[in-house]
Amino acid sequence: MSRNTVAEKKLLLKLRTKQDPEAFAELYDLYVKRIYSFVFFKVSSREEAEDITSEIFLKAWRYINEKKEIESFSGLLYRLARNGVIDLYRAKSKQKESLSVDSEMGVEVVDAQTWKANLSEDLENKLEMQKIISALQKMKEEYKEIVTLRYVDELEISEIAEITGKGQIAIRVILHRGLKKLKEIMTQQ
Amino acid sequence: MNRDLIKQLKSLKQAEVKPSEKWLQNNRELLLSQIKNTISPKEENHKFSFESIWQAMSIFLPSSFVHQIVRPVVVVMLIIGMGVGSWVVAASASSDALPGEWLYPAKRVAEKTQVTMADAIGDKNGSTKLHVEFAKRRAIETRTIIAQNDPAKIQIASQAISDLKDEMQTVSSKLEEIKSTQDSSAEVVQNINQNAQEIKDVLKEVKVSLLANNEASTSTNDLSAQVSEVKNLAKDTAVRAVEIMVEKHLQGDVSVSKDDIKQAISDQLQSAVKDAAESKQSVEEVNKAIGVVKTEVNGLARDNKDAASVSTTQALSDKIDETSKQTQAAASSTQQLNVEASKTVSEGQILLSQDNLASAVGKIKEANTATSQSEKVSDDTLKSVQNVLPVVAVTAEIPASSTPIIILTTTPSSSLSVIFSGTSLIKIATPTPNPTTTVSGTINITSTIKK
Repeated sequence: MSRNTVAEKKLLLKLRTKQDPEAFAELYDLYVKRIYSFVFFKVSSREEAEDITSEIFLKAWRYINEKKEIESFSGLLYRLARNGVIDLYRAKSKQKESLSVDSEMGVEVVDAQTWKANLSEDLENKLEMQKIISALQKMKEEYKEIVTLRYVDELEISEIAEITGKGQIAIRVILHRGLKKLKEIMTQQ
Repeated sequence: MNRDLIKQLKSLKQAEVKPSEKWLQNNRELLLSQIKNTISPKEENHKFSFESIWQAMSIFLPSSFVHQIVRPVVVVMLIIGMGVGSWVVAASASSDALPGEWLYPAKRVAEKTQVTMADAIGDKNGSTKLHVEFAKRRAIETRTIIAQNDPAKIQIASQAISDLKDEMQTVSSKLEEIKSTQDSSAEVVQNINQNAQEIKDVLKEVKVSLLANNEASTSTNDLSAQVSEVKNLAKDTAVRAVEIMVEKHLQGDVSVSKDDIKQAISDQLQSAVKDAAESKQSVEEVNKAIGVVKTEVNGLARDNKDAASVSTTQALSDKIDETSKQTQAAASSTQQLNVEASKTVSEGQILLSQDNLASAVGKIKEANTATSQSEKVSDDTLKSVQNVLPVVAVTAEIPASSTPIIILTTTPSSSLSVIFSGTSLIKIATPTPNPTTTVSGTINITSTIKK
């Protein structure tokens, strides 16, 4: 599913040329839930997710008005979200010496728990999901992030490249290796 | 296996956490109020700019595509555009150029390119229309040059007339082609007819200007003859065009309505009768003038006591007697031709009212024969009068009511006799040494001014 719809681009153009707040509001409606859930899975606290999401959209507005190059609006939002989450981790790691050096890993455990907590009642489905979540947990952070962005958040390769600052070919390679690794872990389980 | 895995991963989406609606709404309002504060007050009417185009392109197209393909293409197009644009500017600037001016060759090249393009795409009608248009341009150019009354430009005018003749011949041959091809419409022929008539009228003005310019040199006489020839060619082309229009109409071509054809025929008939009347008028005026001059010179010859000038005056008197006879003959001849032309034209109008188009066209031809003869007589008369009185200039072919006839004559003793009629501006030219003098007023035809 491509998020780079013509409608989105029209809104972006309106925003660029006319600084139309209404166009931005429409884009907000379009993306706020996805970004919220993306952030929520990383931070696992409603308050923090809400704060970061608000911050993301405000930053996006500034970014657009500075007329910087934008490949896609969703790419920009996810990049800002990722940076926002990382900033939060850094702040937390400074506060909590007890948190491991691989701070993100520590959060990811909660992350997985959030997923598990929100799983449906369907037992068979639930089991399968738990299985894949456990498998994801065991993967390298780099693989996990990109596989999730591609298949759970359903972003385009180009968007993931923009978010992570990597090349598109590198993303494809990581995706390929990540899926292979995931498959290995799944069969081992 | 990969597909299943991806499906499983996608199913995790179901576990997405929804933010609370209340927060969503509050945050939206907060965000909007925050961003509205950051907007700098701007003009309401957002003007169209290239910047917006680039913005749009960079949003709608991949940036690599914009940078690597769109921009170079736009740059190349701009370069080509500037090249073509400057050519177009030069060509359009040259459209007012006259023969002998430095931009004129550009004008001609542009015209040739247009014709070549029309021929290349097989647009026969377009090509014909272009030739007609260019013929008209040559005629107007000639008129402008002659109006400048510059003896140095006679040669240039002669070249323009010669080009016009070539164009008219091309148009004539195109006309014959149109006649033989079924798919060509009468509309083109109508265009030829209208333009040929206009060319004829323009050339008529050229002839008048040539006569009025008072420069009775061999070159102007030649040019005048050249103009007459092309004028007749234009007239013939117009008649031929009408003839073909009628033929096409009878073959079932409906691109030109019957009323339009009838109008064209009627116009030509009227034009013929008008031409005949003008020739007659001009010869009559010359005849009258010569009559007065004759009386005057005879009087001079009688009164002159100076033995040296008696013979000169007497010789002039004899010459004028002779010319007077010629003009009298010419007057009666043009009178007769005028009657003939009028009669033919009336017959033509009757035929036209009976919808007998083909016969009406025949009448145009008949009337034109008479008119041409009449014009020839008129031209010859003027020429012979000018032979006797080198400074005679007759503003012929202009209705007598608006312009007077002017005859100037000088004897070696520089006594000047001017005889004129009418009520408007009168031009007097003396060959030497006095410059041109202009007199206006109402003077009786028999008045004689001695200087």
